[in-house]
Amino acid sequence: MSAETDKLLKELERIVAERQDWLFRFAYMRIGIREDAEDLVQEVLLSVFRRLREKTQMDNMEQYIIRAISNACTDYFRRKSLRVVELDKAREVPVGESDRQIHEEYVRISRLLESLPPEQREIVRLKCYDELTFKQIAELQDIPEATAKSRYRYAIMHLQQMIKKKGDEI
Amino acid sequence: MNEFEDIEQLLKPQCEFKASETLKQEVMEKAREEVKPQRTIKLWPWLAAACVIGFIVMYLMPPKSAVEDSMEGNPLVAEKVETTKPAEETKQVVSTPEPIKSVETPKRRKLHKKNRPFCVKKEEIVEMSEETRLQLQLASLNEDVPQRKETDIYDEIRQIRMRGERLISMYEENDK
Repeated sequence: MSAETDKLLKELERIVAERQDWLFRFAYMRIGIREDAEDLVQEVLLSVFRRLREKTQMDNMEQYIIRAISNACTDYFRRKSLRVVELDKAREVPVGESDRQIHEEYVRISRLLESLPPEQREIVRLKCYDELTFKQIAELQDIPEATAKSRYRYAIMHLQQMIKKKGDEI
Repeated sequence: MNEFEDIEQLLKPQCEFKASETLKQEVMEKAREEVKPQRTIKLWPWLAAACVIGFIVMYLMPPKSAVEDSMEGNPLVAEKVETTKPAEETKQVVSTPEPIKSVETPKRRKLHKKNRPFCVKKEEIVEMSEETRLQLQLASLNEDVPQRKETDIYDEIRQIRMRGERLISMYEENDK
């Protein structure tokens, strides 16, 4: 193995170590199935490695990874012809003891966001859960930064009202 | 404003997400496989070349009928065919065992099995064929000799008788 490929493998190892958990969380919070989420993460990491091998110009590696995992999730739902995993069905998904906590988290967030329109829902996920900046969200969604901010504000306000309503009911 | 932050806090992850330990290993293994040089033998260029050669050979070969015509018309070919005939005849003679039996041939020393060569050389074959030819010629001469004696003696006797009778008759006429 040449020194160059050895260097590439080391670079990949570093990226995997740094990003695999974040990528897994991103995929799991949208899919809700560990195996499928990990498959997508693997796919994305290998695509990053291919890019490194081809010496393709990557101005922003971070942005490329975010876009790659986002597109992988979109393709997954397209392939499975599923829009979203229904919450009632998501609860029925067999989950191991180790995954119980993350699955409950997935169900909790999905329940909170289910009343929001899809575009607002995705922005809230990207901002709060995936900890992206408005600039990154705007680039990923191909929308102006101001639009991303306003959508986020509307989404939070909607959630505020919803929580208040529920509190009044109780 | 506080409520806004509370909701943001509510939407933040409450637990740690860990990818399985095998994920990293699998990714690295697949990456290493991709890096490995692929030694695939490309067969299609060879197949294509073989097909092209085949077509060229077929194109350059004269038609079968033309070959046959040329064979018939060519005197050299006819001569060759004629020259080969005697060889065939000799072969036929060789196949008959009788003449060989009649001839007393010098006994060839039998080679021990171990000493026998694995394959017979071409020169030996040539020698053998010449010897057998000579033997066969001798055998044919020996065979012809007794046949001639039987027939010729009778003829000669007849002729001698006839001559003698003629001479006697001539002498008798002269005496008269």
